[in-house]
Amino acid sequence: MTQDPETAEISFDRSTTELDALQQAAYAVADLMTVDIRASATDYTCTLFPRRAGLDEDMLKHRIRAEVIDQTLRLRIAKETGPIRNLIFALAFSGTGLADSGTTDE
Amino acid sequence: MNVRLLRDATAVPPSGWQLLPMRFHRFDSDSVLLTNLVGEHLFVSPDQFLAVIDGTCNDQELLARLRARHLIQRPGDRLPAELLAVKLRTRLRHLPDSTGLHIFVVTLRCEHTCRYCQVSRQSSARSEFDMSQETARRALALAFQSPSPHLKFEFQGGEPLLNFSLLKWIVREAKRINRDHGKDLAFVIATNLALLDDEILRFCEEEDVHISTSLDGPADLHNRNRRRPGQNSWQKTVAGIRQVQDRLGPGRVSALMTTTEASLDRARDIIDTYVELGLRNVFLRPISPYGFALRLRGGAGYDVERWLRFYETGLDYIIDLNRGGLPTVESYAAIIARKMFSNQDPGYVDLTSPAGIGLGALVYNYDGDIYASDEGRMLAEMQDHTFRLGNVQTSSYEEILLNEKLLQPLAESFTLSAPMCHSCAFEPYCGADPVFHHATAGDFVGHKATSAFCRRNMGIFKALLRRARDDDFARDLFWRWGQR
Amino acid sequence: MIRLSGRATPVGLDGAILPDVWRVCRADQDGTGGALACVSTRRDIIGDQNRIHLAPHPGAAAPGPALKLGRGLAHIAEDDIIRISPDGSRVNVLWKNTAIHNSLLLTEQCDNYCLMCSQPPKTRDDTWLFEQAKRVVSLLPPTARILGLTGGEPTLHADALIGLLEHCRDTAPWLQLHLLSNGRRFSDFSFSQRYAAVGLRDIMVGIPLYAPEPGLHDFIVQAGGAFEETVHGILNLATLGQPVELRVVVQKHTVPVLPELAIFIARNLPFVDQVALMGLEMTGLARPNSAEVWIDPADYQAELADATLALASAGIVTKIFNHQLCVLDERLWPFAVRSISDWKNDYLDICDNCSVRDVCGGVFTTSGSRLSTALRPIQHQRQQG
Repeated sequence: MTQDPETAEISFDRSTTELDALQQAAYAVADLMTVDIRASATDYTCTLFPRRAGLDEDMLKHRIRAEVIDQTLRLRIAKETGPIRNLIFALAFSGTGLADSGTTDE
Repeated sequence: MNVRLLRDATAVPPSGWQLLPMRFHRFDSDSVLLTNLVGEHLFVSPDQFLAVIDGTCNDQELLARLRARHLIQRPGDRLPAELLAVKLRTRLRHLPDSTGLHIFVVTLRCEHTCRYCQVSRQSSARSEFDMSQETARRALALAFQSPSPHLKFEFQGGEPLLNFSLLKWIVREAKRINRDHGKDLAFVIATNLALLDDEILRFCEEEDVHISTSLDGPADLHNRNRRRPGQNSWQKTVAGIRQVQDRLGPGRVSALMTTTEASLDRARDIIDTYVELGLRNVFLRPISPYGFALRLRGGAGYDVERWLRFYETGLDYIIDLNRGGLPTVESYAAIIARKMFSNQDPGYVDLTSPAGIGLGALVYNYDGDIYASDEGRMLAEMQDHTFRLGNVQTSSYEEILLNEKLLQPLAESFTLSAPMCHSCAFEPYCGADPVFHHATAGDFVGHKATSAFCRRNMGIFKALLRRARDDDFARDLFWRWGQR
Repeated sequence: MIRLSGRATPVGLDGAILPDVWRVCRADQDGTGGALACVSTRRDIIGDQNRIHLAPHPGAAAPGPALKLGRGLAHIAEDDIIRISPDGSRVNVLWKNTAIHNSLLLTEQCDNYCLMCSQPPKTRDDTWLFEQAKRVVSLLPPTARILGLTGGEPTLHADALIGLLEHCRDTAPWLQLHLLSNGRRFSDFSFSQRYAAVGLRDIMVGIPLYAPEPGLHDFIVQAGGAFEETVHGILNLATLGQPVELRVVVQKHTVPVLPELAIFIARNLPFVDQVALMGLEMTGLARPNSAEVWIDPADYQAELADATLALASAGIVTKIFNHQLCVLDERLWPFAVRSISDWKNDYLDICDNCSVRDVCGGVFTTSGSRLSTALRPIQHQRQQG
């Protein structure tokens, strides 16, 4: 498969990178590049297509790497705080008041 | 000394805290912005941020501040979830009160020919572009089916004063109908003021009607875009503003600017014009992507960075005016400040989630067609009827509000589920704009990485937060703006 | 400053003096050096008599069975309410009619142990204080307006407190009541409901809140879990539409977090009826803990101004108690209230030359010599507002 000379390639270790994080990262950097993700047995290999001429290859790689780290953090925070977030929404929308009450008159 | 319970017994133990729902943004090279579920924020360093997530932070003072801002809690705490729920509920409590703003396009006729006008230009004489009384009557009947305890009726056009007789009728009829409803009513006329006369002033005085007008800036800027016979739009506008202030009081007239490329180097001049006229509120508006503005430039987007420089110049000038003792408000910043520094909803339909289309505003066009927003109506002028919800002759209230044409964009653009928006630290300050994204990107969500709406708003949020962080005067000023 | 307790000598009275609580009324004969007589709600006192004369000083004459008051009690006047010990040797003033602030102590027990507590807790059973309070309320003159209910922690005795409140409602419904409480008991919603169900026309609970998070607040009140209970209690009271005042004692630990606390209140508890930012009284536990709590008020004006102005612009009624005008940042003068109870209130000699002495609250006599170094007379009248 021939590669466009302007593209760059970067790999992420499958065992330490969540695909979700990678996909969200690719989405978030779409102003600078589009990303093609291929999975092998050990890696996710990403081909980076710059949006316009003159974008530095190193900069693009840094950008997507940093974004993957941040999206990974976001997934982690979301997982950890998911239950209490649901609780808060449930409390906010509950029909009765928030204080402990024995009765539920409205 | 009588201290039995020591400080570390009550503090958060090492590695012993739980995260509360939080979102983050890499603000600049040495700070990370954290926001909690209801938009309360805190700045930390990148290292501190990781230490908090990893459980390795031992800065007790930072941990106490995170606790106070409901970003972390001690296991077993019950209060943070309760308080966050109360605050969330408060922020959302306006939702059942749809629809607050009802826009009546009483005519398309206008004697101006403004270059950026998004409404079809029609000369003053053709009254087939006027709303009929029957249409108005049906529109009022629909409006009063809104659950909202406050209804604001805004008259637009064209130039609404060209159909003043109908306007008068609508105001009186609305008040008559309201005797059975007891709602709080407000009336605004969005007019260029060129046709203001004694009769109109008297009517506004008697019926407590407010005036909103267009003031793009100093005369050369204003007249360049706002063309009318005699080329004296600015003079007429200024004279009209003064008349309304003298006759009805200074609080009864407000002005909005329309921003064009030519405005972008003139922030201070524009603000000075407002200040000279005693107008305390300045709304530094974005360049609109709709209608003629789009056509004139061949649909190219404008340079958001350049607009943000314009905005920040204006914002800083307004802050300095306040520092010098002249209370002036940048209206968009005040709206955002309300979301940043309080749990009250500012009621601004163009920056809210769920989007303000239909739920916040309904537009009744001169021909009885009903649109989900003002911009939705402008799209119709370009033959795009995506946001037309029905017609006053044929549609019931339920058919309008439960129309798939309304529900689909509301659902798809909802920020808590939209890609990138749902995890954005600024989400509590922001809103959904399905009309903008439909017009510029072809779907209701757009792609936030390339969206001018996102870039502009994020630029504004950062501009405000940076100033609040680095300048105590600005911080206190924004806090005050947010409380009103 | 006036003395609220002192000695007395009974003259011509045999047997125990009962009951204990009396209201002072004018003597029906004058010209005897202003001797006052007492009236009780019960008539079976001292035979058929229901009055005891009070001689205003040991030397004054009295037209019958009397108590001769020791020095310092000469201020006792018509419509004051006093307690007389059974043997007549001690008199306590429970209600001073000319004072703006009157409070009834309901208990000295408390489940907090604040570092700067001005009324250090005791464990002994003192529920008789509730009964005494009821009797005082029964005797209040019709001109009585404001009554404070304090402790210790009055809500520790739920039934007695509710009973007292109901008594107030029934015998003196025109009173404006101010109940001081740490708020923790109100986290029990059923208790809050009982409190609300009394149906008092005008009662506010004053609840201390010292920090925007549990770590510091629990440390200051020396009780783990206090913050959660207190704030939960405040929320319950709000749910039931009950007026709440938040009280923040400004001391060394609370000063650094004062602005953050103001923001916390504005964002989480914006419904409170008022916030009182209070100068420290250097008495009780504040003295042995002074290294932990003392800070010269002149050194915290920036934080105090930040907090006050943030709260005020959020539309929350904010008041500054127990601060002298010379010490306060001038922007805060509009918020300053003359709040120190008359009986422990005084001015310094240097205040004689001060042009705003008459509107200034003065100092705590109970603070002794622990006063701000910034106290000084203000020579020129500043502009109001």
